[in-house]
Amino acid sequence: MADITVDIDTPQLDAISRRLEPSARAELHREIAAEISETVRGHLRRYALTHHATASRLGARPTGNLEDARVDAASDSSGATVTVAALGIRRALGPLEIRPRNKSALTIPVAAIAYGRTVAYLRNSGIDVFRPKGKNYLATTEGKGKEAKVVPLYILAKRATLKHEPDLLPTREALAANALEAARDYIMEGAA
Amino acid sequence: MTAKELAEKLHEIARAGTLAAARHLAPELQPLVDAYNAGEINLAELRERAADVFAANEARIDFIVKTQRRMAQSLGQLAAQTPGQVARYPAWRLVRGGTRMVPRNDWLRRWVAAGSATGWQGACRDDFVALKSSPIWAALGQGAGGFKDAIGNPFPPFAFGSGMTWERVSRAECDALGLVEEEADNG
Repeated sequence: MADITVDIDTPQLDAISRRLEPSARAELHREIAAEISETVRGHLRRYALTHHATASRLGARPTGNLEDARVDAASDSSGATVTVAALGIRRALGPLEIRPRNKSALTIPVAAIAYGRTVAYLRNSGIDVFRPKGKNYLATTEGKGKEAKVVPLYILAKRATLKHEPDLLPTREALAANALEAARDYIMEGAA
Repeated sequence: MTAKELAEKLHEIARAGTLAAARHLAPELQPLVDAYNAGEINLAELRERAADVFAANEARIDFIVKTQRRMAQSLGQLAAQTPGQVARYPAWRLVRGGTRMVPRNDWLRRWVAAGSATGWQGACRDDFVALKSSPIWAALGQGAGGFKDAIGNPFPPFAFGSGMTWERVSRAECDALGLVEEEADNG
């Protein structure tokens, strides 16, 4: 699964939670889960708007992977969990090595037409995709006769490492601070 | 309406929306959309596998999948609304959620049409901000002003292929914008 969970429990949150009856604790955790999920959702939206380096470099349409990321909140009397599901989201926590699944190599797009499309998809679309002899990439041909030229589509690789992107998610400290604020509001609302 | 009542109302919208969303999607695409939503496959794999089971071109597949996915996002957001969230963030702001090669530039007209149709109840005339309880969101989704690409939901995406979404607006900002809420019943 391409999802992550970040533990943001703090002594202050723990102290607030422990003082409550189970039903109130469940409500508190629900408020915290809602706050964190909204914080993460907003962060991913803003991040997605400005991080399309690969698509921009290739002149391709972004896939919208982050834009479409699913953020789910769950909670009960024992705690709150916010899950973020998006391919590559784990690079928020550190470098992410990817390896081919069910194939002998990764196909890394280097042309706009290949971005967000598999080799099989291009072939089914009528595009000839081949591996030039002795080369470590897949290509197609543009033009005909003497003007025909080989255009690289994908580089083949046994593995690739996505660099750590700590800004992909809010910091743990920011999330903990938001959670604490939600907890304090919940307590104050109950005391009012 | 109290914060708790509004949160419940938003949950009801989410429940109704979930049923409506199920009718939009071609059922044969559902397992693939589920896998994509879970981050198990990427868009390239989804396109390849969808083309095998669904007789449509890439544009249509993308269109269905992304619309469905964004609806699911909004429904999850509505279902997660709590009294605390509604009290601290009483409004939404319409914002861009995704880049487009050719973005629509008519959202101001849509906003004005929806606002006019609802008497600007709980909505700003000069900012894309409205209370979560404002009828402007439903009017936007219904295509007020004659916009025929509206999906019909009171939550994003409001139009087919739209990259617009909403983000929460704090009580402090609502106060600064002059958005007035109905008196809460604390009984």
